[in-house]
Amino acid sequence: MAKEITNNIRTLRFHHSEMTQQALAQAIKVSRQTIVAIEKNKYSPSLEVAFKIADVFGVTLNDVFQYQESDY
Amino acid sequence: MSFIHKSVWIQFFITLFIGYHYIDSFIYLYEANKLTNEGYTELLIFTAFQLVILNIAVHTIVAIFSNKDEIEQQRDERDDLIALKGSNAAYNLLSVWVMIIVVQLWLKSIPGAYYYFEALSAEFNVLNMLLVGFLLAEIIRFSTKLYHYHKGA
Repeated sequence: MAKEITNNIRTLRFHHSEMTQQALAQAIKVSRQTIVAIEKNKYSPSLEVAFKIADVFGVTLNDVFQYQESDY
Repeated sequence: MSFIHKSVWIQFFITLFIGYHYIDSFIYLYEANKLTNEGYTELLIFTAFQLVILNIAVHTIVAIFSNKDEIEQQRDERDDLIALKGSNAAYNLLSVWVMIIVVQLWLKSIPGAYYYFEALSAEFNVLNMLLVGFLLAEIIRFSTKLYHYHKGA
């Protein structure tokens, strides 16, 4: 079965004082639309951006992104 | 939608409009037996003028109605990746188009060959083909970018 990259950024944002997409975007210097695309699994960020996201939430990369078998 | 994304939509529709207007005007000149080097030159200058003015005007109007932060937002890695994919698609089409023109020019060197539009000189026939190729490549570039903005990069 094919694997895909998923993330739980939305959940992490919620648990970090309900951080907005805009706030996260500004923190890692990308556009809000990029954050939207990442959360919807429509865009896989670069390693640098992925590490920056993990850094903002104070967690490891694996806590943010998962490489798992898709449902399809 | 970011201003960069809006800009792609603007350029896409403007290029489609200019492409349609160019072909429509060219056909009119051809059917009215007004297709001469001078007539074509006027069309070419008008098309270039239209492209520049429309882009400036429409971008300005959209900017006026957009958020300041949105306009000042820099391109990020996703915008760059989508731009690259658009450019790749356009380049592939341009490469094929250049080959077509090269083959056609070679064919024209054969004695007895004739240009498709006899009313135009050799240079203007090539100019016409180059401009059509350019417009097609731009439409491909913008539509590829729009596809990736919608579906994901």
